Amino acid sequence: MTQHCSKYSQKFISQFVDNELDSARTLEFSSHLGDCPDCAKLVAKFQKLGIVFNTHAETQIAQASFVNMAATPVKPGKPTGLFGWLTDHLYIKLTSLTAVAAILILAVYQGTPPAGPSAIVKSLDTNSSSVMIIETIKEKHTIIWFSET
Amino acid sequence: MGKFQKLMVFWFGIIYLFPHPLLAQTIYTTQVKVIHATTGSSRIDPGIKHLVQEIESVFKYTDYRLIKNKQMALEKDETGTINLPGNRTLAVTPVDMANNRITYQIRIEKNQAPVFQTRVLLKNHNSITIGGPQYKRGVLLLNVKGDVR
Repeated sequence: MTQHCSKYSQKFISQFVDNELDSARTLEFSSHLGDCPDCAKLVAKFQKLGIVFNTHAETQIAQASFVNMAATPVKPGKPTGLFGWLTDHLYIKLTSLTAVAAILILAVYQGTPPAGPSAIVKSLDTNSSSVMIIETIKEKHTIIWFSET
Repeated sequence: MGKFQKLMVFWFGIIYLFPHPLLAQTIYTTQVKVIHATTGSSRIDPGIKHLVQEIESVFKYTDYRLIKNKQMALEKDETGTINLPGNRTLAVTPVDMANNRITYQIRIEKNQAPVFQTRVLLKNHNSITIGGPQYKRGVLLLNVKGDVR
C-alpha cells in the first residue's frame, strides 16, 4: 500500500484529479503538491489510472458498438430484381407477359412470307409431251402445267 | 385435389382411353374451282380475283371465268369427282395428313381414259392450280384447295 500524507485523503486527491474541487481548494492543494512528494505520486497514479481507464472504456465502447451492429438482425425485405418484380400480382403480370408475347409472335408471323411452296409434287404421270411445275414469287403458289395431247 | 380437378382428370382420362377414330374422323374439306382462261376480253370473275392476281403473271391469258366451284367434305381415301367440260372428269382423293400437309391423289380423265395423274403434298389451307386442258380457244385451270381443321 502506498504511503501518503495525512493532510489530504485519497478521495480528496481523486476529486482533484477529476477537477471536481472548487478553485480555492484546487489552488491550496496545488501549492501543497510542491512540498509533498507522496501526494504528487498519488496524483500521478490517479492520472495514469484515469488515462488507462478512459482508453479502455473507449475501446470497450467501440467494440460494443461493433458487436451491436453485427448482432442487429436484418429484417427480411422484399426480394429485388426479376424475382422481386414477379412476387406481387404474379397472375396479372404473367397474363400481361403472355399477351405481349402473343402480340409479338403474331406481328412476326404476319410479316413473314409463307415458307415453302403451297404444294410439293411427289409424283406425276401423264401422256403429255411437256409438263411444267411453276411456283409464284409472292405466295409460292404451285402450278402444274401440262400440254394435253 | 379439388372436386372440379378430379372431374377434369376423369374426363380427360376417358377421352384418352376412348378409341380416337370413333371420336372424330378427319374431314378433308376440298374445294375445287374450275376456271376457263382465255385471251378474249379482260374480265375476272369475283371469287377468283385473289387467285388470278397471284397466277396471272405466269400466264398469257387476260380473261378468267369461274365455270364451276364445288366444295366437298371428304374422308381419308374418299374420292370426290367433278365433271369438267370436254367429257373430262377430275378425281381428288385425300390419302394422308402429316406435317401440316395433306397428301392428295389427283387424276384427270378424258373420255374415261386417264390423261394426268399426280400425288401432291398440299399445305393445309392452301391450294394448287393445274392447267393445260384445252377448251373453247382457251384452257381450263383447276384450282384444288385443302382444309383440315
